[in-house]
Amino acid sequence: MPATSHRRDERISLRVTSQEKNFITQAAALETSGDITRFVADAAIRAARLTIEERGVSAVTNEMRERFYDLLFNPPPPSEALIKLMASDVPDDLS
Amino acid sequence: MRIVPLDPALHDRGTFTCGNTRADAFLKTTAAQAARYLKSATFVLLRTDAEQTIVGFYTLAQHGYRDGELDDETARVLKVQGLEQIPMILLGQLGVASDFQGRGFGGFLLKDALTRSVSIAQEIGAVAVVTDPYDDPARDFYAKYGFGILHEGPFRRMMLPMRTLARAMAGKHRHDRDVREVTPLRPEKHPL
Repeated sequence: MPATSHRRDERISLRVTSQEKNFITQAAALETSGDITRFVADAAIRAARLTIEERGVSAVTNEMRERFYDLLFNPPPPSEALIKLMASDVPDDLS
Repeated sequence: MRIVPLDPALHDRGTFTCGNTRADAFLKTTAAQAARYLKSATFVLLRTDAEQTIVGFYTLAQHGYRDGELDDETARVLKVQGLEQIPMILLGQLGVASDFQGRGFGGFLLKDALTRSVSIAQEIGAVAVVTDPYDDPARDFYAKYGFGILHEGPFRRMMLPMRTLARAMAGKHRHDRDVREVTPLRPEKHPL
């Protein structure tokens, strides 16, 4: 994955009412030490993730394409742990 | 011990805690409704002597990957040509109650989830199982069993190819007649 992918150099601007902004500011004070950007971004990413899980669709992005198809085309042999796991029995019940 | 589909009328979700608030909240508030609308399926591991107690749980859902730049050759080799999306299974949640951690129940739940995933793949097709581990211990848990990291941001996603999984189970089938007999599936290998 390119090193740039984790840099926060993209911008989203949004307009809200003053009440909405005050409300968000209050919450950001509690959760992200007052960092409104972080609070809004975290909340939006959480929501985006839920939406994607709910809709059941993800996109193959440029950053992951190679890795994605390599795993599918050249599936690694199963690890010892996986072979053992799939052959394992029901664990002992709780005493 | 047994693993059965979540039944909100029988299984005590209210007291369940696995140490991850999001997973706990999912089980308490979302899992039953999602199952009712058939959006996802949640399975619970129960104690034999107290079947209302949830020792652990996991959730499976259908998932797909779209690739706007998927070329015909790649699609052909992957045998997904003409598909709107590449079919996968999302292991959305997996958690063991705090009181019962460290005894291998997580592995047992994962085994059940993966066994079920292979059956689903053989019935309707799925080329991989994907999951989004919440933290580093969870990542290490899945990595041990061969899940590879697909991406780290904005959240971490890991993927286990179905062919890797099918190969792990092929070894099992050779030594385990019972599994063969009770598996109502085509005996030949998964086409992928």
